Amino acid sequence: MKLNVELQIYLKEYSPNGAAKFDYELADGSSVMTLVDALGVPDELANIVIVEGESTDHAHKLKDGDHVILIPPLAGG
Amino acid sequence: MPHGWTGKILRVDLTEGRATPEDLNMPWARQYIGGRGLGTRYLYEEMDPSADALSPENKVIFATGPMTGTYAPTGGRYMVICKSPLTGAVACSNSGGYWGPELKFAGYDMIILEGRSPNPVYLWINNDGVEFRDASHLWGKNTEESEDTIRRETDPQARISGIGVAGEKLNRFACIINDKSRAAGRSGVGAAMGSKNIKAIAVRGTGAVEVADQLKFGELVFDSMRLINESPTTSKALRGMGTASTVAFANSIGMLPTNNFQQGQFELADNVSGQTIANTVLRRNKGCYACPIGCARVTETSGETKWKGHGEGPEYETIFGLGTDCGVGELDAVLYANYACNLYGIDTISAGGTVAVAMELRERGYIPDEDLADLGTDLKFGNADAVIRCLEMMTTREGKFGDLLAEGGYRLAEHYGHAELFMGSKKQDFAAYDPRAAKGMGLGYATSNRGGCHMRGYSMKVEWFAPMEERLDPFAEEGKAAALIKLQHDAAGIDSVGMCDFSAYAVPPERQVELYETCTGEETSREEWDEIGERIWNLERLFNNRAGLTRQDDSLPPRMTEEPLSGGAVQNQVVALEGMLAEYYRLRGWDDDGNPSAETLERLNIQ
Repeated sequence: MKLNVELQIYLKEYSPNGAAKFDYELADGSSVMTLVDALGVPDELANIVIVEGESTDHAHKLKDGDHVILIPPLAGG
Repeated sequence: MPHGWTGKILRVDLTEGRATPEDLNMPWARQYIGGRGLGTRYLYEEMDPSADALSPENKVIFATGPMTGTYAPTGGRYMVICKSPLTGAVACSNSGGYWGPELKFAGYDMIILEGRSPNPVYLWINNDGVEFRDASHLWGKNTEESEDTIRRETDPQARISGIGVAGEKLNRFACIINDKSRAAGRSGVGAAMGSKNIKAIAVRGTGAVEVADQLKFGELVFDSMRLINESPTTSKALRGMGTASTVAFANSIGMLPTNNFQQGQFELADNVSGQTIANTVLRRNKGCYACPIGCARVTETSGETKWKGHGEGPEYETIFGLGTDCGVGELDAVLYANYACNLYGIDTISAGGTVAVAMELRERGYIPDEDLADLGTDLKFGNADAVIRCLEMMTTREGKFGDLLAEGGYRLAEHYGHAELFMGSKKQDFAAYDPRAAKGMGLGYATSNRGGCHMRGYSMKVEWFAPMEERLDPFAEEGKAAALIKLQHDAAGIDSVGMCDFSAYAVPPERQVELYETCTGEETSREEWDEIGERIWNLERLFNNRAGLTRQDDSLPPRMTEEPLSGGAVQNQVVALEGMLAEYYRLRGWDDDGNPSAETLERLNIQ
């Protein structure tokens, strides 16, 4: 399946092509955790996961065409 | 002589032109630490909370903590405590830079400004020497011109904290600026200073802060630096992109306040994100005294714009206030507006919130054409020129509309008959987190002792930013009262000890306790630290109650409790405040009207 992936702020370091937003092929039935591992992002840095606009977790099963956003630990102020 | 604290305060009678050193009340220092807590203790003792905040009866207290001026990481903070001209509640506004440590080096923990000078003055503190100097030539000057002039007239190494024109004009959300761009930003502490006819306090100190156990303190500092450098939040997010790193997250979730909180997503968010700032206008990052994080951004507009300038910022809160909440997505305009606020001496959050509610009032037809004759542009969302023009007008109180803007968003909306459109609590504008996407933030805004604010218990930490397995459901109300109370106490502790709240992402309260003990030589514990935070919180509450605030002031506007957001992950959410508030009062040991019970006050040893 083909995913549309967005890596926010410094997670961009783990982008396969250097871009923050990119398309990514993954086997059908994969979870967010599979994606996180495939990109080489340390688990704890994929701290907030948004799939198709919904906040979810690493166990979430992905489907073809999903828009996946991974966000590291943050602080505002 | 105590360690950590200098043991001296400077009492300044502006009416009589007299400055008198006094011994610090050490029993209070042990009970309230310093900074926010200790400053509030003095204010509570010495001032009638029902007095007008802009009268000579108000006191303006500049307070450091025992860690201020040591080499503890981020140990450079000072706070300004007074009754707020904006909210009528207690004000405590926190700033970094280098001014706070300089005051310690001059030998003082605290300055208490009293009365009102008959003429504009500035104070020059040079170690033991204190002079009242004429400031008539500085009146009308912006913060940068004022600081440069005072430094020329005193000492090239003097540190200066003072007001801009907004403070002189008693704009109710005027701030105090030190080191040119660090702000004690919120609640109108600059107006309180302006009402006393004092433009600035210049300080030069050549002493040092004595630490009780140098060896142990040094080991703890070294290890705390390691924690900060290993934490992704402090070393990667804050150091790399500053607080602006939060823009993309908030927009993705749907909690980025847009157009006076009417929406939670902004179509031009990418234009003003941390990534865009890093790629375009960022020149370098910058840290305050003893700060290994360096979250501040030194920026310059792009050059291909009519808005030209350079300076510090923008923070996430400023991007929201002067940008998204006013529908403005032009980064150069946001930068320019940020620099202007620093020069004028106004809080970027409340300035933005005031313009945003004005724009909504206008778009709904509640502001007549004749009131806007001096504006010269359309008061509508997305018009950056209107934002920048409003900043000028609110600073100088230009015309009827400028005068209304300077009163703040609540009074402006009330004037036009629609106070419900003001997005804040206790007349102070919300920060950049829509509470419909983090219910604990809603309870936090409502119960914050200084009004709408994210720094009085940052529930985002446990609702969105904590590790996934420790996180609370942001959309649930259950459990938020207990979690928030703990965060409120933690914030009171770090605000009082003199370290920056951002260090707490890596340096937990347990370590803060160890640093405090080795710095001051005073024994305490994690449990007692929490109790000190609770004591400070209850004392602030007592001040507010005596100032006339009630349960009705622990509220949110109907937009938060009745109108669901659409877009992002925040579909159909509103804040069910009343249930959380009742639980909060119960857990705090307060009665149904929000008054601390006699048992609670006795337990906390508050007299």
